[in-house]
Amino acid sequence: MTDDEIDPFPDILHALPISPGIALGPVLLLKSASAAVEYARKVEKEQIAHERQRLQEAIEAAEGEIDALHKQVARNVGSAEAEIFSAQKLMLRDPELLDEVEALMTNQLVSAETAWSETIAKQSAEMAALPDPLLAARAADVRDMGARVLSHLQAQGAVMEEHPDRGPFLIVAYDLTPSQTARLDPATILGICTVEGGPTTHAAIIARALEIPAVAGLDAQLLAELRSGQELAIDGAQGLIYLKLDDAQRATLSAAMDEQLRSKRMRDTARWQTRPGETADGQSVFVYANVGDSEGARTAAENGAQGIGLLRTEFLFGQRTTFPTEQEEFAGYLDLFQSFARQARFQKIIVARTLDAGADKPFPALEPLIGNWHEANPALGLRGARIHLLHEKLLRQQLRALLRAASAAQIELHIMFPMIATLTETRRMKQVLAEVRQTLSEEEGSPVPEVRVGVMIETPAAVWLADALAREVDFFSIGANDLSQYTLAADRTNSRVMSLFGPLEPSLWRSINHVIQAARAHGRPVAVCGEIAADGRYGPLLAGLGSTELSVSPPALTRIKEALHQHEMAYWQAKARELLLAETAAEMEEMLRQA
Amino acid sequence: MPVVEHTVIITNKVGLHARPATLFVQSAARFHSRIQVRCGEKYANAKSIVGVLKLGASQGATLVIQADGEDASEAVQALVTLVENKFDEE
Repeated sequence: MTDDEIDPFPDILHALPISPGIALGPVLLLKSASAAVEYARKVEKEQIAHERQRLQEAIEAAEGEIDALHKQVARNVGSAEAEIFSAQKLMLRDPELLDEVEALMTNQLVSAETAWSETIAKQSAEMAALPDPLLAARAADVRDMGARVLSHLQAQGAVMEEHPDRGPFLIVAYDLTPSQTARLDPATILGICTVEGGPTTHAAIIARALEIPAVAGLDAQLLAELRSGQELAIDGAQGLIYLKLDDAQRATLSAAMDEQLRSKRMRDTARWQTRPGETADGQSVFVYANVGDSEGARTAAENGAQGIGLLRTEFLFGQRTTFPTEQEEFAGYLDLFQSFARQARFQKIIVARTLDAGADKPFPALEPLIGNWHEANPALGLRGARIHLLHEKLLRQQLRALLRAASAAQIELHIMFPMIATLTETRRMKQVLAEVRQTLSEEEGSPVPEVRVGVMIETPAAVWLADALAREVDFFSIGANDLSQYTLAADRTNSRVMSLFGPLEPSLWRSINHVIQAARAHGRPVAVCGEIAADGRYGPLLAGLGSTELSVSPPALTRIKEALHQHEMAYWQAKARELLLAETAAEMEEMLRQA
Repeated sequence: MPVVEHTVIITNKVGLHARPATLFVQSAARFHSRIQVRCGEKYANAKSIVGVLKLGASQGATLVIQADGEDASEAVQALVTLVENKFDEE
């Protein structure tokens, strides 16, 4: 619009405040749910039975949708807000309403659409006329439920088809039903601006619960002039619509919106901290933390870790030149266990990986034992389990210290052995653990409780022995970083080769899948730790393959819980199965791009 | 067929609003009897959520619940208890 044209609307309009907050961004116009659609009015007498049948089917379809919405809102918004849908479900089967529809169809020979929409219009108008504003607002629920059934009668599927694929947008519509509002994704919707609506409608209650700023009372004439993509701003607390913004206003509103987003993100993080890991349909996937010192254990507990899935016990060694005594090890573990247990919101499970030393990380304390530790290929050298078996005394001492600290801190300890390549070494280490427990029990005069024993799956050898290992141990933990290195024969410390491979390599994913399936066949849980588990794009897919636990760094805990919750388990499973068909990294990328 | 009638006063704060009305109708639907509710001049089928909402019954209103059928007395008893217990909301 140029300055020469007469502008019938001022730059700032007063509207009804519905849900507080500032929204500034491009408009997305939505067509109204109650948009008139052509349908046959009159029908032949013989057709009435068929109309009755169609109506029955439409009601059943709508009922299924309302059930799904009910669950979704209960989960994402709250059970009080979800109660709206219990009422709507009763409305669908309301005997008085159905009698009226039936009478219209049989007496006036009209179509199911006609009888249904006339009845809904009459009932909602009667309700809207009630003197009590709270009751009158329930008319919107009658219309919402009515529109849903009508859309099924017209075989148009869900009421709102124009869901934005990109965003974020400011939704502008004639009105929004509670169901439409409940389906809005707060991540892509900046705000809502409607012609119809009031603060007591269920749509308003849901908008407030989702913290989406909203105003109502937009001039219907103005609605006709607005176009998708144009800039608009609303102030949901004051009930203002900014049709035009100068630079100063834009800056002020943007700053307010940023602040709003920041504070919401903080509250969201807090929310995910207190929730267990689960998919959108409530299937549990444990989200554990990778921890390497007491400070990390504390942060993990604060951020809502459901356990420590990988305790790197190397922290006690650092730059020490002498090997720690058993008492020093005990004190170090006890402090770490207590740091976690004091603030743990969930179970106090700690999976300790025994010392995973290798020539690539300097361990001065080990040098007196091992001697000259310079190797041409440290990744393929003396490391992990191989050191344990050469120097069993170190392993015994570490196991004793871990068991004693676990009992003192009253946590549930699981033991995990690193760098496993054969069943023989696994059996030997289990044997050592059994002997240590036996000795400790005798010393303390009471039996040391049994601990669950697992192995890290990092080598192709372990992948192909997964079935045998699954019979031998209680759980697996897939060390995805090392498994990638050994599967692709690409040294993790050599950036020239690492840059050739990403997290999406079919060989890696097929290896992981093989391990998970072998574990599942034997009823063993499988965790995945490593960078892919902590990535919101890949972690849920590992759960889709059947991994029961993701172990990630403490800052990634809330992010992974949120990512898991984006879809139902069946979605992650289907997506993961599809991914296994890919033969190149590029094909995997492409499959993930198609949502 | 026994006909049972009972009068009860709405004491919960919000009256027969969405949630209480939902509970009321869900409860009525469990019985075979025909159940009618009267509030002042208005009548409603107790199994009709639209009808019950349109009664516009607020705090202090008197409801007359009348049931007709095999389980009439159980039905009336259940609904009266629900109203007297303030729909377990307070």
